[in-house]
Amino acid sequence: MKRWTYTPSPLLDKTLAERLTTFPRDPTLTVYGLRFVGMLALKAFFASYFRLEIIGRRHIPTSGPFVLVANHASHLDAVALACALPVRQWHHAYAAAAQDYFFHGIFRSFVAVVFTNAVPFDRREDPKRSLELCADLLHVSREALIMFPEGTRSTDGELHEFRAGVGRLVAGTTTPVLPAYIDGAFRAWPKGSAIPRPRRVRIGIGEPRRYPDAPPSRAGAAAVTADLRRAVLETRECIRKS
Amino acid sequence: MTNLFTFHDPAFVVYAKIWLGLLLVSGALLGILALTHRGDPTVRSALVTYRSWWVILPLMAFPLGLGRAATIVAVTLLSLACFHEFARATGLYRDWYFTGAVFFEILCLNYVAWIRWYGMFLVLPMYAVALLLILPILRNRTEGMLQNAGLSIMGFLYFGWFLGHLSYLTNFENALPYLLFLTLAVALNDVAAFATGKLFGRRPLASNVSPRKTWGGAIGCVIVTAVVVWALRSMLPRFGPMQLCLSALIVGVGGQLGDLVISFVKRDLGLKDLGAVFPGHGGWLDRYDSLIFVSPLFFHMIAFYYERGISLSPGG
Repeated sequence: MKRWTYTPSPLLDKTLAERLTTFPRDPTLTVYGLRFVGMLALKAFFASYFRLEIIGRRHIPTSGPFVLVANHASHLDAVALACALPVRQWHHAYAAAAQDYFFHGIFRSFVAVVFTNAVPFDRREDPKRSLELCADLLHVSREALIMFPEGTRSTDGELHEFRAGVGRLVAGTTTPVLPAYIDGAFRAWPKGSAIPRPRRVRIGIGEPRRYPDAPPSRAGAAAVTADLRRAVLETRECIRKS
Repeated sequence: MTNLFTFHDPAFVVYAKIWLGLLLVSGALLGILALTHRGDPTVRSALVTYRSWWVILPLMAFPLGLGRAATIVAVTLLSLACFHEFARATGLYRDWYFTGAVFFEILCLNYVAWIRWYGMFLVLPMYAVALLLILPILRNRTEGMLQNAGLSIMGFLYFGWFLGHLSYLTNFENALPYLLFLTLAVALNDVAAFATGKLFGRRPLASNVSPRKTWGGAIGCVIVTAVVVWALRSMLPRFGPMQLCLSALIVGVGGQLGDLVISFVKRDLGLKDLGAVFPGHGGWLDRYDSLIFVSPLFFHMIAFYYERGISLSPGG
């Protein structure tokens, strides 16, 4: 006769704040349900308030691991990109979010976890470990990753230099990387502004790129990063012409 | 109970004063103890528990002050939180079909309470159990299904239906004083059980379930609760001596049984606490275990004496 076996959640004795900042998280129905309902509401809000337009949606792979790399000029960016993804990928796409900002306090952590499925990225103390976490998500769990390689929000709306982390993640692998450019988010909600304004937001998604031949060295990662920055700029030109 | 704000209701004002007075007096006593017994771990842990009461009491009182709708929403959220915690502790939360079904059933039950459909409120557990038992058939799965169905049935009945009686109680005449009484009496009963358990008794009550529970502590707790009920008698409309005695027994004995029910669940699971929501208390179930057991008993006592003409049809 089989005995009942209980396998409690490993995060049972953690407080809500600790549970939100711990990664990997428990896949609970509550968070998935909240994310689904919240994302539906946000999609409707973005479509009406920001008149969100997505160009190149066909480039998004239907499944498997991929990295979505975009410019970063506003808090709207991660949510706008999540809105661009198909519904079935909402729970399988993780946005790398600054641990020191988004996982500071219950409210911010809750919003980051529920709406953008955020991965805490320690950009100051231990970025190497955070990159390993992202690599595991991509290559072991085969999930999608949303990254902003500039590392922080742009204060002038321009595209700044990329940090090499994204290059290290994909150099020497066949993981597709999609360059994306978010246009208008800076005008809608720039850094330092309290309330988002109703400005048109457009997202351009370019063709996926792969770097199987790039050496997984510092130089290789730098070359990949530079190529991705060029790709994001090309996407910007494409959506501005359209 | 009215759908509108009840903060101005005389019963609410009196209970708010009692709660505030108790918090301030116990805070002052604990402050003195903290000064005289510096570094004492028992006093330090009592202070942590005390601080949590400043969160727990407003959490219970505000929905009652906001009216019937807010109270039903709060009871629904409490049921969902209790079941969710139970599911996380047993591992049931990994099966989304069963947890989703129980969430849905809890929402349905409280909706039935909202529309005052007493007949459906009483038979809904039958439909709920039927749904949970056909889930394995619909999924064409057998592995682990008996365990998951069993845990789900207990989850719905104990955390959904038992607590759901508080939602239905909002439809009764004088619901506000009854609910205010119940929340205060159950909270004081928990404190009395803790205090009398520490002070009196050596003979264990159920040593395998809860080693610290003693007969002396349990009897002492019932006596303290009886005194509390007697002190609050003027706040309980229509209650005579029989109803007061039954209330004291229901809260005093039922509250401790509720505590023991969650204790045996925890012992079987090998856990000390079921969560870490309230520092010093544990999770939702560690805090509301007594209320879950007491709610239906108190509800049916009132229904038996004062609501005999209750209609089984919607809106009754």
